[in-house]
Amino acid sequence: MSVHRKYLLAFTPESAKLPVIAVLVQKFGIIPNIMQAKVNEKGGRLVLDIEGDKESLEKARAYIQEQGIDMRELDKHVSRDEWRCIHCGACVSICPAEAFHIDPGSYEVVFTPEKCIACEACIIACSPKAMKLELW
Amino acid sequence: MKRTYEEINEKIRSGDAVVMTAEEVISLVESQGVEKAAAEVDVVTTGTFGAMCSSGAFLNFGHSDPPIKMGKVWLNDVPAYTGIAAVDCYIGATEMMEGDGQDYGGAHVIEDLIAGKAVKMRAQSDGTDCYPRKEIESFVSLDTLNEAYMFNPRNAYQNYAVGVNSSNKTLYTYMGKLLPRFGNATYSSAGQLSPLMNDPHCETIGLGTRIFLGGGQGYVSWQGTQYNTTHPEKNGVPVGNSRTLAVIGDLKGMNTDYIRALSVHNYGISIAVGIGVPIPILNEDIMRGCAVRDEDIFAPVIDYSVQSRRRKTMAEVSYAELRSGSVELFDRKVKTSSLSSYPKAKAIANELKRWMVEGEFEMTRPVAPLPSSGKVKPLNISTREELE
Repeated sequence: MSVHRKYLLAFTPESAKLPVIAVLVQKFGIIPNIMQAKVNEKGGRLVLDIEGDKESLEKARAYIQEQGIDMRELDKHVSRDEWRCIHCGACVSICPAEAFHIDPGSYEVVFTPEKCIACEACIIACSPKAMKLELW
Repeated sequence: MKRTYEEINEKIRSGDAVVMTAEEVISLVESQGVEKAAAEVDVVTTGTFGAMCSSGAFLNFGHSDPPIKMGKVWLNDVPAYTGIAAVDCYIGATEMMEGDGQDYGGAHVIEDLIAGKAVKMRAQSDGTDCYPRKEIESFVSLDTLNEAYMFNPRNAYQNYAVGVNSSNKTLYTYMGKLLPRFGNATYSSAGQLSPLMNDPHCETIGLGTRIFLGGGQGYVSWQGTQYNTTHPEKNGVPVGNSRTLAVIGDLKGMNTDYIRALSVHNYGISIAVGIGVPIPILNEDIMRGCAVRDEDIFAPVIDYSVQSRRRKTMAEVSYAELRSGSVELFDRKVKTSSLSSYPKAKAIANELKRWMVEGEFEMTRPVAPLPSSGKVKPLNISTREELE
């Protein structure tokens, strides 16, 4: 059974040199979609949208962790303070993942964390400061 | 059909007033027509909740022993203006915390005070014979202050521009994050719910009009700064930022649900102010104004990558299009973001309605009308000789 999940990978300067994506594709038959990639002197981070069967995904996960790369499922990393949110909509047009939309009935801003790729665009754009990034 | 303020207030007192929000009244007018709607409804309530930089509060601290004539004062390290009497100050919403506090400013001090939090006050002075003290530091709260009232020189803008960016780089403006090459469009008005959209020529809104301000009751105290009546109109509503209100109200009755500090990235601090104005249906014309819909109200699209006051209107779009999530601009679909909150505007109009239905809020006849015309002058650099 094929599953679809988003992961955030955190690399050390050493592990950032590894060709992890190629291995995922070749060895585990996984289809990764790179949503975000950053490399700097502290290592790097990668946001992946991964598609593959459950078993391969577990093996791939074990492989990645063996390389000393921190891998976490990306579902609850960006959160919204429901009281601070004023439902203006500033986040709606700037989110590349389209994780926000306006409810056509109430005009409230609906946040779908499953679509979030943790790019932090909303955190910057949110002037009441309702959006928070909770990374480890 | 004619109705007086006295008749409305009698109905409010007896619990018989028919009050509807500016959103509710649209379908009533569509189904029944203006005449019947005007006969039925006594008051239409409006609301808006958006960034209103030109806001702040006057505070009086009371006198210490020995007393001080404050020359400089800080509230949570945010400077406040104290070039008035000894222990009076004005804390402006956009004033930023000294040091590295880009995310904290006067608006946060105001929000904290309304929330009942203790705020650190620090003041300095040269000392005088009658005010010998030179320094003071203390915590203050809304309860310890004598007077604390919001006085906002420019709020509740009648319409506003839509921001876009034609350049190749992202811009961070007071209109929010503007993506390059017309990547998005931002706007800021409650449209059909907004106070001055529903009484576009200020026939009922004037000096002394009692309003909903920040969760409490306030008043229109003057025309707002940059009061402008020169924009052309479409469907009776000016296209562009036009009339404004200066408002006043006690901080002590306010509620942080309707006053919210904002920190606009790479721009600075602002404050979201909740304002609701009741419009008395004195005649059918006033009801016609209140029936305005988002599809009837147009805003000019302005390119914020032009760093000059001579920005030209690139297009005009309706609030119905803006609120749909995207607008057609230059043959492409551009995603939109509102910066003011429509759900909060609606909540304000409903709250004001509730106050009137429950007899807690009566209408006031303006003491004087707002100006029938106003024009915004630019600031041109001048010499003394040119002006005298």
